[in-house]
Amino acid sequence: MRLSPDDWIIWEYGFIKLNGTILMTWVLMIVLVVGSKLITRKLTTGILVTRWQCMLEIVVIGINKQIRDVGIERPEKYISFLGTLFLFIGIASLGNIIPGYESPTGSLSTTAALALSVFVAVPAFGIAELGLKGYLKSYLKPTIVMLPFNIISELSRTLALAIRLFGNMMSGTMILAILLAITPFFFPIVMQVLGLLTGMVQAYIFSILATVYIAAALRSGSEKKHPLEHKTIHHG
Amino acid sequence: MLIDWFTVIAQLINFIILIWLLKRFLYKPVLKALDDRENLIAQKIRDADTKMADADKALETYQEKNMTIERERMSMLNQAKEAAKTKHDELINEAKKESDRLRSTLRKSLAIEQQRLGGEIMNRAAAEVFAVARKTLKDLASIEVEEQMVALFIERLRNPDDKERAEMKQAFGSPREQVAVQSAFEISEGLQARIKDAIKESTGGEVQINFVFAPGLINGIELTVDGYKVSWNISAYLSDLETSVIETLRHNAVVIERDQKDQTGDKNGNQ
Repeated sequence: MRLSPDDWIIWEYGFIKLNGTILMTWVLMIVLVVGSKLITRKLTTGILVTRWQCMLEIVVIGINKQIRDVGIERPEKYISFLGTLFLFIGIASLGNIIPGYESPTGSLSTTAALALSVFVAVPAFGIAELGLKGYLKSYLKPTIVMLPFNIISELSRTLALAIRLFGNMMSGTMILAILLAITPFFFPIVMQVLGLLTGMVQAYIFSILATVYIAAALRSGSEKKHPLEHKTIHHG
Repeated sequence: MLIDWFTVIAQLINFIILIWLLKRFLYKPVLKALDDRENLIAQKIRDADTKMADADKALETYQEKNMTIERERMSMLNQAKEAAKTKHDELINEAKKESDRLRSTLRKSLAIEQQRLGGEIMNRAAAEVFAVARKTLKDLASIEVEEQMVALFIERLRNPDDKERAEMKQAFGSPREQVAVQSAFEISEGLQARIKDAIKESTGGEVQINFVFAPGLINGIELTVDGYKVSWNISAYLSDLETSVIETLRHNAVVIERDQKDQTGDKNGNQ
């Protein structure tokens, strides 16, 4: 039994290797890109739209709305990153219903990669919005004493993101394997259904947390622009 | 070791590529389509608003026009009614005048007819009465009516009233005067002698007398001398008859007129 699809080595050449995680990710990428391409190939801007386009629009509008609800004013700028996070994790979880499939998110390497991308994206978006100085100042809030805690928080939340997703995805696979050994046939199916739900919830949690982090990075700048806040900082 | 760093890096790259691909093939086109649709709908709503405003304006214009037309129609209708009423009154007046004229013409012609009829009746009646009287007298008393007529004439010559007597004397004063006795019938010798005698007796002198047969004189006998005239005819008898006949005719005329008036009244009432 494999704990992670990383252990499923298909091809190896010294340092470079092709394992199950990478293969499954490619499959997912192909499915996502080809599906999107097929649907968006004949997008119409009229009142009447195809069902597939309608579905795609619902997904995009839904993601957009979630981002805006968190407090980001221009979700279009961040939808590529946050939307892809959600779609990738969500589709990776949904794939579990296909026999022989192994979710790439069940590998700590994948979740770590996703968490790392969030870890990089949050300051990147913050700097893009506020400038380097403006962003770095947010680490000194509310006082300079908080600087180490802010840095620890930044690192720990990245680690938490990676571990949370990995734990949830891996546990699903693990529980399934154990239950198959103990009570075959019916019960594992119920657990798999539950696993699908957990997967979607995790996709939502992961991307909404990333959104909150980005929103927080952006907001620290906008708060600074407030005249009263500005005064307080000067006096402080 | 749960984390394989090569896989981590590979997945990072994969994820970045996926972000780029999805941005290229999913978010951009869909968001663009959404924006386009939004713009299209906004444009359509704007167009619809413009059209609605135009339509409202057009409607207002048409309503105004309609009202103007309605007002004109009403005024024209009123004018037409007025004109029709005037024309109606004119026609009625003309008809009344015409009817009055016709009525007066009818009345005149009726009067003329009445007069003509009266004269004719008089003539006919005189002739008839004379014929009847002659026949009756002859049949009942074997008396010639002419003879009796002459007798009456003589009686009148003999016993004139005072005024007549004076006039007669004055008329017969000149002996050269010719005395003419005209009659509608031939006077026999005997009767001529009796008339001569009577004149002689009245005037107390011989007179030359011309006896003239004048059929135009209706059943009478007449003596003329120097403008003076003594006559007897049956006109006195006929005057009663005439009066009676004229009365009857007048009565008929009144009835006819009343009937006409009733008919005119009915017509007016029906209108």
